[in-house]
Amino acid sequence: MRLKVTMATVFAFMFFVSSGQVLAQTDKERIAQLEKQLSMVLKRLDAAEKRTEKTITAVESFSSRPRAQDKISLGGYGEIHYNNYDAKVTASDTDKLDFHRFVSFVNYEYSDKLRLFSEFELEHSIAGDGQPGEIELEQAYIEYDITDNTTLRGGLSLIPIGIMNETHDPPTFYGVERNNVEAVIIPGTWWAGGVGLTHNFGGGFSADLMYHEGLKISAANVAAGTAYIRDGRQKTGNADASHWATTARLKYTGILGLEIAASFQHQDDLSQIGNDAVDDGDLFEAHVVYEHASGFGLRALYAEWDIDTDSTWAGTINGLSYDDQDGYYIEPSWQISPSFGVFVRTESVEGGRSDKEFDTQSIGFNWWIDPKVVVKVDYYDIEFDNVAESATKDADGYNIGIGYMF
Amino acid sequence: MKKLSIIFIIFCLNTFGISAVHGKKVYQLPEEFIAQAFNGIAPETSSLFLNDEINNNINNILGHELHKIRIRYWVNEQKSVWILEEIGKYELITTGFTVEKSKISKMKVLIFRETRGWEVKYDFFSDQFKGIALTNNFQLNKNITNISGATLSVNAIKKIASLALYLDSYIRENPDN
Repeated sequence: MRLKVTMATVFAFMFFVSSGQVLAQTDKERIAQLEKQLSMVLKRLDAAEKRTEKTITAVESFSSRPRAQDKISLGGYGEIHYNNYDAKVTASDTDKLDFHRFVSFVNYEYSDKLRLFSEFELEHSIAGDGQPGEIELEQAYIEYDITDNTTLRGGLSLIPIGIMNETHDPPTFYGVERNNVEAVIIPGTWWAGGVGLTHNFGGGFSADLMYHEGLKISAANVAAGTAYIRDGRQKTGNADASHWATTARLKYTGILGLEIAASFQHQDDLSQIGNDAVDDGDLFEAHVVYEHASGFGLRALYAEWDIDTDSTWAGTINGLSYDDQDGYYIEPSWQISPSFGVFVRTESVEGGRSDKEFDTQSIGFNWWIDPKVVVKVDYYDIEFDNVAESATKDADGYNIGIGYMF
Repeated sequence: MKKLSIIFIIFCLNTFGISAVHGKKVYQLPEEFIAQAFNGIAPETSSLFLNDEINNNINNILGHELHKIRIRYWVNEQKSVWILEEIGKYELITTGFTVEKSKISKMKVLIFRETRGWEVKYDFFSDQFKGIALTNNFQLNKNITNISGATLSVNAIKKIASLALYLDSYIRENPDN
């Protein structure tokens, strides 16, 4: 009996031991099998990651390859204005809605160094005979980088003078209407055919030089006292090129937020015709633009013409002769937030003609719905120097405008 | 190793569309900016794949989609470096950002292709971005002084500065991205 129990115990023990060994052997095989599977999965995952990387790289390379359309850039700006002024005489009141400008840019990059810029403009909505508007080619020039710091341009381009002559997209300035000093005296926006050079000296200094078609002012109008510098812009439309003009500008932008610049222009005959009432003319302009991180801004500009006239053609107007025209404006502003800013502007214009000699005051705000879209409102007051003009045309009122750029 | 790192960085930048040598004015090559940020030895290039959440926020920051599968970046425990581009007025502006502790520690305009506004290359402009952080609505927490005649270029740089800060915060919060 004892032997049987002992044998049974031994056999049971042997059974359990061998079972454990079988079980252990099964687990080991299973683990080995799982490890093998895991290794295969990891290899396949690694291979899949490599294929994905190759695919993404190929897609990125394909999508970033140079394409013809990548060399073309489009842009533009536009503005619609509502002007409402009450003058001393009702007949001189203004109550007007006008899509003042619709401008398109088309640019093309031939290479890293060679570019085309062009700008096409429709003013006052409708152009044509008897219509209020104009269609104009405002810019079309080729620009070439001679060096990293020197650029040459040829074609039709904006003259390097003033604050707004080159940069006048609506969201970039205060006030519905552009300032009168630059419109009447400079006379902006002023573009002309010719060649130009820009050089960056470093240290914040740069210079521009442009040799371009000149103004063509009617000597008869000068004699009649009706001449207006602005009417002398030829806009490179079959322009009389008998007498060219040279404009030079020196600019300093080496301090954060500050721009100081001065321009000088000489044309040896503003009428393009010799031996008449209008001979050579010199235009001088200087300005300061300052913007502080707090939002405070300041623009101040002075411009003057010195025009030589024949002594037999004095054309005296209001004690000023046509040969001496000038103007200035000062415009402090405060951008209270990224989307809202206020300004005041005071201007004095002596434009060589009784209806071009006046002072203005403006106060208003810009509301930038987007950095490139602005709503503007301002109060505007104008007072003329000439007694007759003042009696009828002194006026005040408001302007409302919507402007955009892209 | 440093040479290989730089070669690989150039490969990555060219692959995802930033050409380091085709700019009008190259103030610093992107690969040099990256190497400089990491004292000469840049870490391996990382990739942030753009999911719906990231794309939505990019749209909020830039005002448009990026149309990219991923953004490359370089990161260690202390800092991340981003090379980002945005159109100013007509052309792309390539800018490098180093972000440390959720603030920009260095910003540099690397390649500037616009005709005007080249003043963005000066330290007096880029130093404004040092220490700048992101607000809850993806805006920079400090005003940036504009450059006269280059408003759009400055706005573009501000937007990609915001983007760099956002992307840095995303990869820190989602280290397994």
